This record gives sequence, structure tokens and C-alpha cells, in this order.
Amino acid sequence: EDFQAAEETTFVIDEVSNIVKEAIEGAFGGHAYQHNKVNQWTTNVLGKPFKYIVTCVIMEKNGARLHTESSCFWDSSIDGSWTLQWENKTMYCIVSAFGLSI
Amino acid sequence: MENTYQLGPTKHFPVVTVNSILKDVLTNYLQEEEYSPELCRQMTKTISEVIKAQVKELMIPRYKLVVTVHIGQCDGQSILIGSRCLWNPKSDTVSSYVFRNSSLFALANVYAIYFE
Repeated sequence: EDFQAAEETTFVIDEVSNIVKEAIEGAFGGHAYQHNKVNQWTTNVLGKPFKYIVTCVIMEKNGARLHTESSCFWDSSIDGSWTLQWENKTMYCIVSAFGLSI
Repeated sequence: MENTYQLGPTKHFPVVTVNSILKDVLTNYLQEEEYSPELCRQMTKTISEVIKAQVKELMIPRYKLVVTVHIGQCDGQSILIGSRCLWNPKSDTVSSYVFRNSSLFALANVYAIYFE
């Protein structure tokens, strides 16, 4: 019973990664469209008692470099995060999702 | 953590104080620095830990924190950074600061989520 309860409230990386991949692959073109996709994802989410933060970085490829780091103060047994990096010929897209249990 | 039977936080997250913490930390660490890959790799880690420690010192009860730091080279490229949150806007909030000098830019965000 305890194991089941834990499953229901932990941040499930597989489900999150599928949703994020679909959102990114569905977007080609403008920055505005990418933002809409990300927004849509956060409202269609899994129905568990979670709060979500999604950050999206879109950068034009021209040789410049970017470093990103995050540091979190939370309960690591139930909260989690996941990051996906995607690129095409002209740009990089990095999406990070953080899920915090309430 | 135990149930508090409260409907909301007794002490709200001080956005303005945290904004000035972000400004101080980014300016102190990066004011004189030039972009270099090794330096910035180390800086993002250090800065995010320092910010997290300073915000924790404010001792705002029952708030979880997510600190993100992006440091990039200023090379004429276009970049867009955005975020969307699914939360309770009465108790949860975000603090943000962008620092720029001639060779690099840095963005620090602190998301504060109330643990009900």
C-alpha cells in the first residue's frame, strides 16, 4: 500500500519526457508557437497533486555558448525535474520541467 | 512535513528582497569577468548554490525553491528564455534578474512554491 501511494505522488519522468518531446516536435518555426505549446502542456497535465514549472530556452545557432544550471531546495523523494535538449539546423531548444508535490 | 490546516502561507515570499539578492550575487560574481567556457561552467554551479543558500537564510517557512541560472556568451545571437508555471498564484511566485556586461549575460530565476 505504501509503495502504491508513493507511485501516485512522485514525479514520473517517463510520462513527462513523452509529453515534452511531443510538444517540441510539434513546433517548427516561430518562437511564439513554441511558447504556446509549452503553455498547453502545463494545462493538460496528469491530474496528480503537483505544481509545475517549465522553462524553455531557445537560442539561435551561431557559435555562441550557453551554460545552464539549476539548484533546488525540495523533498527529493517526491519532487523531481527533467531536461530535454533539442536542436535543428538553426536553433537549440532546451526545455526543463520541474514538478513539486503539494 | 505535517498538515498545518492553514489555507495559505503566514509569511509570503519576499520577491523584492530576493530580487536584490539576485542582483548582488550576479553583479559581485560576474562584474569583472570575461566569457570563457570553463569559468562560466563553474560560475553557473557556484552562483546557483550561493543564491539558494542566501534565499534559504531568509527562513521563509514551507516554501520550496527552484533556482535556475543561465550564463551565455554575447555574440550577436538571438535567444529567448521563457517559463510557464502551473501553481497557485496567491502563494507561489518567481524572482528574476538579468545581468549583462560586454562579453556575457546571466539570467537568474528563483521560483518559490508553497508546500501546502
